[in-house]
Order: sequence, then C-alpha cells, then structure tokens
Amino acid sequence: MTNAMREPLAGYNFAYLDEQMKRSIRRAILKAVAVPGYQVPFGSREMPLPYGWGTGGIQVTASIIGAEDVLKVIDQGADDTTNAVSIRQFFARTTGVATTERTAEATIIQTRHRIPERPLGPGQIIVYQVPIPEPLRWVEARETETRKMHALQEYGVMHVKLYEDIARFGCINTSYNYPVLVNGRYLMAPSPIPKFDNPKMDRNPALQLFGAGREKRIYAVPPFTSVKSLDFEDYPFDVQHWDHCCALCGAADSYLDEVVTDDRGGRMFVCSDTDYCGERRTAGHVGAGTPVALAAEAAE
Amino acid sequence: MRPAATVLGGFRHPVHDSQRVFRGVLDAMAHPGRVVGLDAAVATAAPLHRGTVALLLALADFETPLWLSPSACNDAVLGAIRFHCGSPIASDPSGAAFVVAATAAERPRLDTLGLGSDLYPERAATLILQVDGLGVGREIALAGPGIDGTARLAVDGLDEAFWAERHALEILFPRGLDVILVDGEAVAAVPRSTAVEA
Repeated sequence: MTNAMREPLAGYNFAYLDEQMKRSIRRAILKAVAVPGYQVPFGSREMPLPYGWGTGGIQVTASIIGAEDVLKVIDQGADDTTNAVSIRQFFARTTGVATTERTAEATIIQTRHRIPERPLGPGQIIVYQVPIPEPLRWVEARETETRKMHALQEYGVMHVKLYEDIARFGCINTSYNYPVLVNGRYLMAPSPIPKFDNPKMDRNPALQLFGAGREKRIYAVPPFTSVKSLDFEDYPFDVQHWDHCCALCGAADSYLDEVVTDDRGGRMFVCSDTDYCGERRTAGHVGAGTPVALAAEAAE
Repeated sequence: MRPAATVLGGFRHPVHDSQRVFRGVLDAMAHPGRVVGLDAAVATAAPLHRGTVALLLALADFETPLWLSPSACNDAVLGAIRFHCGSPIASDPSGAAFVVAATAAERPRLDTLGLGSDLYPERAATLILQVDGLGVGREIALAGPGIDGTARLAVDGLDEAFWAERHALEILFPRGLDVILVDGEAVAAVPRSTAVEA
C-alpha cells in the first residue's frame, strides 16, 4: 500500500525539527559515515514521542528526508504496529511525503528491530532506532572507559562475554543485538535486531544509519562495508533456524514470529516481515496451515 | 561611510535546498570517488564555486569555525558567510571545522589541519577543496567503505603532493581528514576511511 504526497501540517517546519538542529545532525551523520561504526555524539532534542519510542531514528530521518522521498516505517518487521504507524503518520503530517509499505518502493526505511527480508538496493537508506548504542555498556558502565576501549580497539572483554555464554550454555546464547565489528575497526551494536539479520548488514549496498535519542549518539555503516559478527573458530557465528515454514506464505528463508491463536495451545509461525509475506502470497505462495486449522488440530 | 554592499543571495528555498545539497554530499561521502551534482541554484562570489557556496549554506553555522584561503577572503565572500551562516572566521586553519581552499595551491598542508583525536575522531576538520575538474585529469584509485572493490576518481588541478599527504594520514585512522573536492556544482568526497593509491 502506498500513500501519495500531501500538504504538510501548517505551523511546523518541514519534518518538525528546526533548521539549525537538522544542520548539526547532518554534520554528525557525515562524520559518522566517514568513521564507520564510531558513535558520534549529537545534541538530541526532545521529540513529541517519549524516549524509547525511536526518537533517535526519528531525528535522523527528519534530517535526511526530502519532499521526493518515499518513506517506509517498520516495527519488528511489521508496518501496522503502533510504533510504526505513529512514526509514519508523524512524517506524513510534518513533511507530506509519500509513504509505502513496500520495501522495494521506499527510499528511506526507518526500522525498529528488523532488516527487511527483501535485499536492500543501492540508493536506499535504512535508519535504525537504537536504545543502547554502546555494545560494551553491559560490561563497562563508564562512558569514559568505553570511549578509551574504542580508541585503543580494546575489545577482548566482548569475546570474554561471548565465551561466558559458551561456558554456561554450551553455545553463544546472544540472540539479538549481537555485537559486530565494522570495517575491521569499531565494535558496534547493530541495535536489537535478531542475529538472523546480522549477515544482511555485511557489504549491503544501502546506506545504514543508526540513531539513539536518549543516549545522544549517531553512527553509520556506509555501503559495501564489512560487518562481521564476533565469534570463535570452534564456535562460528550462526543464525536462528526454525522447524517450521511460514503458515501463511510457506517461506522457509524468513524470520518467523510465533503467534498464539487460541487458549488451547494453538499457535502458528508467520513471517515477521509483513511486506515480504504479503508479496509472496500475492505471487501465489501458500503456507501449510491457517490459524483455524491449527486451532482445530489442537482441539482434537 | 561606504554604502552597504548588496549581500550575496542565499538558497531560494532554504529548507528544501539545504536538504537536497545535504543528500548530495551524503551520497558523495557514502560513495567515495562518486561525482555528484549538487543541483544548487545559488549565486556565488569569485573565487568560490557554486558547489562550495552551497555546501557552506547547507552545513556551516555559528558552531563551525571556518577558514578561508587568502584569495577567498574578500568582502563579498566574508559578507555572505557572516550574513547567511554566522560562522566564526578562523585565522588559523588548525582550529577550523570547515577549511575552504579556493585552489590546491592555497591549501594548507593536510597534517596541519584538525585531525580529531583517537577519543573524539569526529572533531576532525572537513576540507572543501576546489579543483579544476572532476571526471577529467589524473586518475586515482580509491578503496574502502562505500566502495565495491575499487573506484577510480579523475581530478584535474590537484598536485601529487596532495595525494602523498593524504595517503600519509591513513595510518592515523580513526583520526584523519574528510575531503570534499568541488568543481562548479559537482562534488566528490574522499573521507578518511578511504585508502588512496599513493
């Protein structure tokens, strides 16, 4: 579904932010692109949404968006969840730009917690909403120390954290916000995307921008940049696998959500990326079961 | 008292023009070596190219000290920058956030500019360097983030010493200098993450 351009709301600047704020964010974005994976501080502003609702991503999007852009916003892969709907409406009202749910048609994709299944193309920009930009924050609380650790490329402690996973659970148990090394230099938090999505960041032809509003940081991964998930030779990085296919479209290659369908244990696995699932169903792909069928099975 | 000179006009649509110019330079910075037209219909004062004026209008303000090479330090340019950007004019290029060199001959030595620190690499300067031509002249090979394999950038009017000085900065990463080359309305970026053929 695509909504055409319309007149922006009167009384607000284009994209809500004032021009001086946009300029300072734009300068931060340019420096972030020049030093891939490094977190550039910026003067994050109060937004008409609370912290934790994507204010960092919104400020990045507001600073890059133009009248000709086509915006897609997703939350956990879906276009129709509360956070995605609010942010999409915010930009539709304050900029009047066209919005879409189709990954292929978007020039800017703002995302919370997923990367679309459809590969991004050159010229597209994906903006991640980031709650905690510092990957070392849970092992070192002091900003002054983590800053030094980045300066000295002192990342051994992160490997220790992953090793502790192996010692306790027999495998690396980190399943989202899985730490990555960008361009062989900076350790970076990919935001809370599932590790399933980590390989999509590597050498992606799209520009990837990250905004953390409460923590006041912006960082970036330019196109065709190496993004490597940390691992060990004997415990190589691996992504999630499912025993199921999508119940609606039958996809075996997408990230699946488990959805409870009744109070008798009925459940189904469906694509988290609603646009991908919808496109496949439109193309004639059919999944093995519907929620009704599963519920009936469970009832027997 | 002299009658007030007419100040150079700025963007026709400040909001949309600065956004378009920013997206142009973002595209250039994200794809080192790519020549991008800034599509900026701005008036300019010699010796600044239209692209240089557009970059300053879009990115410079009171937070960004600006250094201008000697030939660009004329009344028309200074008046326009004071009026539209309000940037402090730096007398020493090492303290400037934006360093504007009207010609390669007027540029300061690259290692004398602000290169940031290992703790705060974003504090490094951006060098806006005007050249005689982009897409023509001596070809240089570029590699690094933003480039699929190797990119080739042809630049006319840039001396060998520039590329040697730029190459010498690479070992300092994440410190370094982000360079935007300007020819008329066209720009090409060579950020510090890019390895240049010495």
